[in-house]
This record gives sequence, structure tokens and C-alpha cells, in this order.
Amino acid sequence: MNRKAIMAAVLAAAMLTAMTGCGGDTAGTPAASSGADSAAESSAPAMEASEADPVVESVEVPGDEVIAEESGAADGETVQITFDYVLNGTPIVVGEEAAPVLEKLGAEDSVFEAPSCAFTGVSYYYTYGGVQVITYPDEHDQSLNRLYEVDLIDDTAATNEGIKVGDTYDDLIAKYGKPDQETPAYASYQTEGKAVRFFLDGENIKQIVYTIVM
Amino acid sequence: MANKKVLFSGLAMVLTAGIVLAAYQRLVQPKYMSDVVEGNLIADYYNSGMDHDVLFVGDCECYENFSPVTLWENYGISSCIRGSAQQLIWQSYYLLEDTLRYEKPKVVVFNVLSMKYGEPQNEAYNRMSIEGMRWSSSKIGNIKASMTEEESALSYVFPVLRYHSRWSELTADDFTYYFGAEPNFFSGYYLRADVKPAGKTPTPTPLTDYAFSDTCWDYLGKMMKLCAENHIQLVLIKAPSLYPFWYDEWDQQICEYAEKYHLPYLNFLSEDKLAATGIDFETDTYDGGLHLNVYGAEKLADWFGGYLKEKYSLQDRSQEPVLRAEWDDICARYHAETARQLANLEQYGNVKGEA
Amino acid sequence: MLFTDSLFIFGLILLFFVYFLIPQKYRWMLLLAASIAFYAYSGWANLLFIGATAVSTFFVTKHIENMADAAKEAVSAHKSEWSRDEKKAFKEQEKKKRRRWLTLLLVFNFGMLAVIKYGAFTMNNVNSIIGWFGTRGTLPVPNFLLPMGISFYLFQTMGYAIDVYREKYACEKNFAKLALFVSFFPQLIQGPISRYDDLAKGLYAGNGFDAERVQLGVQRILWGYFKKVALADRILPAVTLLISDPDKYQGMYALLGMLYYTLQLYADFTGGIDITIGIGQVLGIPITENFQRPFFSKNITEYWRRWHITLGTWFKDYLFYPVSVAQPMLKLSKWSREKLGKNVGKYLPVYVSTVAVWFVTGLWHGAAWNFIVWGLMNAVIILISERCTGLYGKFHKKYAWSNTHAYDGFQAIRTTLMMGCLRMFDCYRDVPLTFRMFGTMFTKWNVHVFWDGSLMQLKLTAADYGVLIAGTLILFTASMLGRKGSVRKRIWAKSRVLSCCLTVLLLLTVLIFGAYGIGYDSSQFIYNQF
Repeated sequence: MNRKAIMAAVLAAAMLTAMTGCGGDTAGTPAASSGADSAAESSAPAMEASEADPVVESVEVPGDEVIAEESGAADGETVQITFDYVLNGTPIVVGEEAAPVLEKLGAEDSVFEAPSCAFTGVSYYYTYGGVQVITYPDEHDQSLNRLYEVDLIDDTAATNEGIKVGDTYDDLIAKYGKPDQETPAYASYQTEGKAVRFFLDGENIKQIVYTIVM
Repeated sequence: MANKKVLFSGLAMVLTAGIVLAAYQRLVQPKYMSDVVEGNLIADYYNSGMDHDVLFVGDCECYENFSPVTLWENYGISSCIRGSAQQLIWQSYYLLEDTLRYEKPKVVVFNVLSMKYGEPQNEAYNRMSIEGMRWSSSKIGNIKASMTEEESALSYVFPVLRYHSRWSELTADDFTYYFGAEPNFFSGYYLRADVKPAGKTPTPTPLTDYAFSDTCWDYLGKMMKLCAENHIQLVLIKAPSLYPFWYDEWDQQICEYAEKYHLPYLNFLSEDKLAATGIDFETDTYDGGLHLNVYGAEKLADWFGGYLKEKYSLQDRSQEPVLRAEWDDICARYHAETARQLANLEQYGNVKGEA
Repeated sequence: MLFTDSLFIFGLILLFFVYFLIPQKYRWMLLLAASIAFYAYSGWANLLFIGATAVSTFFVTKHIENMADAAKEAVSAHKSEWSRDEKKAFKEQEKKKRRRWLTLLLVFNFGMLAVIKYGAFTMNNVNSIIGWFGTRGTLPVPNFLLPMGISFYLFQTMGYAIDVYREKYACEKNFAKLALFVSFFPQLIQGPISRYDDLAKGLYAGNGFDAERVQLGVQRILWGYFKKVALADRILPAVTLLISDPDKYQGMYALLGMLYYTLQLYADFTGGIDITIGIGQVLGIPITENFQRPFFSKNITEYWRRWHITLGTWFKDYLFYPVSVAQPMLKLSKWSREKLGKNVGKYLPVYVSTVAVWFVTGLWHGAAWNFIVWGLMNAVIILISERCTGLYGKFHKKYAWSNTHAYDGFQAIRTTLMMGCLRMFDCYRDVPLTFRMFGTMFTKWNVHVFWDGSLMQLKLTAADYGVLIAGTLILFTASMLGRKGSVRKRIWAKSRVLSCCLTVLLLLTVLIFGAYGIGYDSSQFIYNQF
């Protein structure tokens, strides 16, 4: 029963897609997950944990989901992929509320505000060195921001598994194994609702993106 | 006799219910006056009694980035903007179709940002784009094309079905503007006089797929065809907004399309255009580079007016009495609004004058 | 398709117009066509199931009746030749044959229901029993999509077949007419479970337009929509929220959930029935009432005579009664009378039948243990109060205040609360969890939720509470006034104009205060899951 304040017969349903700027950079990817979805998401790890094969050892990162890498690619020494980037010891779980994480992360180097067209919600781009954290306003509550994406934009930051911008495609495959999805432009690894994507410039990684997937 | 009585009472009941509902509907429909004023942009067009040589169709990058008043004052070009927030390409198409019912401009300018959306997006924006339209086959087409899965066409015919619950959220505006909104716009332009310099623009996130959807290409084709049939010059532009990102891969596709169909395409984000128009993101934007303020919009309109006049030999119509009467009014309101916002900025630090 | 789909509403209005415009003799055919269209809309495959029921019932009932007629003829042909005993033996033998056919029909149809609705439940339980022996359950668990309203039309049709077997009335000779009886669309969503002799006449009559009837019917439909969309759908998100997180919502929240669900279920179910009966009224088809102010009941036994009436009477006529007089039961009665004494012997069969009926009633509501336990709990309460009847009599005799209206009110509230508690099985759908949550209502005394603003965090705004409270008061007032006969009828009798005003007012209320459209979760009528 999401009837918001004024205009809000309209506004209530307004955040179906993240309204960042005049529609944002999500290029038509419906970004926001509904409250119900996120509830499902937050219960998902517990379920996975209980159902996970006990033989698979999980990486001790709080709030992190771990999946076993089944690929037999490369030399078989591929790591378990984590989908929540850990910055300064703080895991950034996309889809979750932004404020507590931002507080833990401390002062950012810079912040870019992208207000929604006509509405009050604002998307933010926080920069911490070579890491960019993007938030979007919640579908039902525009004052509540959720974590949408983490970008590693230069070689000062590496993934939890140690891959960074500038590494080669072969480095990536050696560490991560066979991607779930790939084109000459990117390689993507996915789990329930989340993905980590490596964008390539020829042989080299040019940007790494942790994001929500629908 | 008895039958007549039954028929009569049946009709009386339907009529009574209809009248009450219509009155109630008017009350609960959003007035878009104090907040989200952009909701009134589309309907504003029908208040104009004059014709226009240049018609802009597109999203906020149209209605906030070009000042029609400058086009009039500097070149005698009568222009208007039919734009709304996050206006999707089919919405622009149907608004173009709708406008052609009333007049035939010489040039239609379309901002290509909305090529990025191939699917219906958002109910709130749909409402603002569609509800202001007068009923016509274009409006029906627009509704059909725009509806998200959760929406029903019926609620566009009877908006009370959509807004019925707003009785608990009514404000003074709903009563003050019960019989109609006050003009807030200047031939479809939304004026902002504040300044917020653009800081460091964030790094764009690469996309996994840059190809525009077939739906968008179809509508661009339809738009082109409609213009050709009506002997209207279609001009494609990308307005100078730093965000949302305009990817090179997207630009490339538009360039190729424009070349293929011999359409002019002006990317105002390109360095030469930025230099030519003189847009300075330190002073010419009110929200850090997303939209231009009135200074930016005037610069852009000034350059674009010269371009249009030269390329499409538009006449200076500033001496035509009918046009003049209406434009004088718009210009007066425009300058008064600029002054009002500046005064508010001075006094309260914001354009709205909120303490 | 649901009553609240705009397609249904438009279809209904169209149907009303066409129905009165076409000649009388074609009207029932229009209803059949509408019913088929309605059913087909929710999936063509559904037509197969309902078609199988209609076809099998048509042929078997016809055959049973032919056999009965032939037997009667044979008896009268041999009237003088056969002795009394011979006649009796022949009749018995013939009846046995007919019973065999009936059994075949019942097994076929209820078998269909068993496989579709209870297949997964049965296999899951079988698998877990296998699991006790150390192996993991490996039997395949079937997963069918439940055809809409199957429990309703099946019970209605089987009741008809049993009545024909019992020679209560002649069977329907026209297949299309029988098909209409089986599939009459307003009843497919939430019932009621009608009897052939009540429904058929109106169904086939094609009654013409009658201003009073149509006006009152429309009012009844709107009243149903009011309950459904203004109250039930409005409170549903809160109910869903409260039961979604049993760890968070305990104590007073569990109590709130129970109360909210009581209102939600009542408004949803009775609202749906109002719509159904209202549609019938407009079309000139009397449909049996399914509710009679159930929450005003003094006890659970009475409650079950006034809530979902047609289901209760169905079980009484077609299950309780036959079970009570069945051979094994008579034997049990005889045995217990001899072995356990006269008193026990008298009651035991009744109690066994009661438990059996409630077990099946639970199962009817859903293929899950929570429903079965719910049914059995009902049986336990009913049996206890049955045992205590004598005590109650003494109590009322001794204390005068127990015969006042205030005490009646207390009893009504007690019934409402007791049924609410039982219904928690329906909410949590998990037997141990339900007991645990019920326990927290007494162990977790978080009464502060009533005034510390927590109520506003339950997906309900102040406006929602306003509508819910006002709506509940209106329901209560209407029920109070309704004790002296139909309110709508009285208003009509008083003034036509006033009646017209009521219709308009109801329409406006539904449209303005209904919780429909974007921002509200559209819900299915709860009872069409059954």
C-alpha cells in the first residue's frame, strides 16, 4: 500500500526503474528491485548457505555469497568468485541499503549527484580512489538509496580475487575460470541477482563492474 | 410507461454517478503546480493560438536546454517544445503526430537520447507525457505503446481509476487549481535561473550491449516518414547534457543513420559544438551538468537559431501581429520569471523562494 | 479470471444487457456460453476437467434413472407373481447395481480431484514415510495446476448425482442444461455449492427484467465489491506482512494478524458470495445464501451453521448422514453399547462421524496438514461443547445475567476470537509454527505496539485505518439491521428514489474507497484456492 505524499499516486510507482537523471545510465535495465524482491534476496544467502555443499569452503567475508566455480578451465586452480566487492574491509552488497555502507566507507574523494528528472530521488556516484560506488533511490521510498553498482576504474583497485584493470583476459580466466557469458567486449560471472563483469579493451581489462542483474 | 420510468431512473443514476465522479476526478488528478511542475508541460501547448516554424520534440534535454524566447527575440523564429520528463521516442512520435493536427512547422528537432529506451519504463513519467494530451488517435497510440505491464488503458480514459485514493493526500493546490493550472512554461520551455557548476563527471559504466532496439529505430523511421510526407525538415540533435552518459557507440549509430537518410545530426556535446555555442558547464547548468539553466539555454538557442535560419531559410516573423501579441506576452512572463527567480536566489538561496 | 478483473466487470455488464434483450428460451444458452467462455479464459485445459465431470455425470445419472425405472416396471409387471420377499430382494439387488454405478462416478470424479489437488500432498507424505526407513524419497511428486473452482463444481455435481440415485428428483435429460448447472460461472470462483432442486429452475427459466430485482441485485453486487476491494484488499498487505515474518511479528502482532485476517477473510469471502448472489438476482436466478451473520453466533456449532452454509449442509447430507448409518458404524454402535455401556454406545458413532466429517472438511480446504489439524480442532471444540450442553443449561438457569443482550454480545465476541485463533492454521500454514505463534500472544506482552506508531509500519496508512474502521462499522451496522430482513428490500419498499441513491452511493464508495489499481497488490479471492 504504497501511497506516498503528494503527487504520489503518481510517485508511488515512480521508481520502477531507477530514475537517475533523465532515466539514468542503466540503459533500460530496470534497476531497482522491489521491496519484496530484496527481501527475497536477503533470504537467499541463508538458503544457499544451508544448501551449499559442505565440502566447499567459503571465503570468510561477512555478508558475502560464495559460489563454487565448477569450470574445469585453465589449470583447475580457479578461485571461488565473490560477488560483493570488499572495499577497506567493508563488503558492498548491491541491492542493499546504501547509508550504513557509506558510513563505514568514510569520506569519499568526490561525489556526483544525478537527480531524477522532475522527481525528488537522487542517484549518487561516490569515488574512492579507483573505486566508484553508485546508488539509486528505492522504488517505494525515494529518500532511501540502495547500492546499485561498484566500478573499479583503474589499476589501484583489485577484485577480492586479485584481478585489476590492466590485467589480461588470460589472467582473468586463470583466476576466475570460464565466464557465464562473454563477448569480445566483456566477460561476465553471475549468481542470483548479481554479476561481476570485466570489460575488455582488446586483450586487457579496462573496467570491472559489480552490479545487480534482473 | 413503466418501462420509460425504469429507463429514466437508470439513466438518472448513471448520470448522477458520472457527474459526481467527473467532479471528483478533477479534484484528485495531480495539479503539478507546486511540485513536479513538469507534469503540465504537455497540456500547456494547447493554450497557444499561434503557429510555430520550429517544433522540438524530446525529453528534458529539449525542454530545459533550448529557450524559444531567445529564438523569437534574436531571430523572429516562432518555436515551441513538446517535451516531458523521460519522454520516450514513441511518445515524441505521437506528440509530433498530435501537433500536426493543429499546425505544420517547417522544422522538427528531435533529441536522440531516448533512443536508449526500447521498452515502456515508468508509469509516473507515462502519466505526465500522456495525460496532458487531448484525445485523438495519437493519444490512444501513445497509451498503447507506453503502458507498462501493471497499467491499464482504462485508467487513462478514466484517470479517477488511477487517482481515486488521493482523497487522503489532497493539498491546497488541488482546490486552488481545480479549474485549471496557471501557465508555468514559455512555449514548452522550463526556466531555471540558478547555477550549479558541473564537477568531476563520473566514469561511465560500459554496457554489455550498445545496439538501440528495433522499436526505437522503427519510431525514428516513422518520424522521418511523417516529416517527409508533410514536407517538414527533420533535424536530429543530442543536447549538451553531461549526464546521462551519451556513449560513443550510440553516437556512431546515429551518425550512420543520419548519413544513410541524409538527415542533419548535431551532437552538441562534441567539442566543436561546445566551442561554437559557448556552453560553459561552470555557469550554464543548474544541476551539475544534467540540464542547462536559462543562460545555457539562451546560448544554445542563439547559436541554433542562426543555424536554422541559415540552413532552412526561416523568415523573421517578429512583425506579424498575431504572433507578436502572443510572443510579447510570453517574453514578458519569461523575463519576469527570470527576475523572480534571481530575487529568490538572492533572498532565500533557492529559485522557488522557500525559506 | 477474478471478480475484480476489468474484463469480468465489462463482460458482466454486457451479459446483463444481452440477457434481457434476447428471447426467453435462449437465455439459459447465453449463460452456458458465458460460463464456457469464463472457464476457457482461465485455461483451455480446465475445460477438460469440468467437461469430464459433466459428461460422466450426465450419462451415469441417466443410466441410474433408467435402471430405477426399469426395476419399477419389472416389479409392477410381476406384481402378482412375486412374493413380498422376492420383491424386496429384487429391489435390493437392483439398488446395489445402481449403487455400483454411482460409486464408479464418485470414484472417477473424486479420483480426479484427489490426483490433482491431493497428489502432491499424498506423495510428499509417502516419501517422508519412506524417508523414515532411511532412503530419500524418490517417488515423483505430481504438480498439477488446480482447475479453477474444482472443489465447488465437483461437490455441487456429485451432490446432484447422489440425489438422483436417492430418487430425490429426476435427472436432467438435456446435456447442455446439465452442463450449465455444473459450470454456472458466478459460482465457480467461491461457491456457494448449490443444490440442483434449488438452482436449476431459475437457471433455465430465463426470467425477464424486473426493476426491483435488478436494482436490488446490482446493490448486492456493489455491496460485495465494497467488502472485497475497500476492506479485504486494503488490509491484505498488512496480513501478508504480519504472517511473512514470524520471528519479527510475535505477541500482539500475532493477535493483530489474527484480527486482520478475520476481517480480511470475512470481507473477501462474504463479498465474493454477495457478488455471486447479486448476479443471480439480476438474472432472476435465486442462489442459496452461504452466510448468515456468522460472527453473531453464540457458539462454534452455531457458527458452522451460519458460515459457508452450503459446504456444511453438503457434508451433513452427503457425508455425515451416510457415515452415521453405514453398516460398520451401526456395528460399532452395537459393539460399543454392549462393551462400553449405554451412554458411550449412544454417543460414540456420532463422535466418530463428526471427527470424520471435520477431517474431510479440513482436507477440502487444502491438501496440507495445517488444514487437517484445523478441521480436527473444530471437531474437538464442537464435541466438548456438545458434552457440556447440560452444564450450559444449568448455568443459564442459575444466572439471569447470562440471558441478557450483553451476554449475547460476549458470546459473539468469543466465537469471533475462537474462530480467529483456529484460523491461524490457515495463516501460517505450518502446524508447529501456528502453536508457537499462538503461544507468543500470551508470553510476549508487547502491548506498546498499539500506541507507539508500530501500527503505521504495517503497510497501512492513517487513511487506510480510517477506511477500515469505518468499513467495519458499516458491516456491523448492516448486519445488525439485516437481522430484521433485507435492508435493501426495506429501502426499496420505503422509497424508490432512496433506493436509487443507495445504488449510486455504493458505486461511488467502491470506486473511491476501493483499494485497486497501481499501488495495491491485487489479490485473488481466498476461497478460490479451495
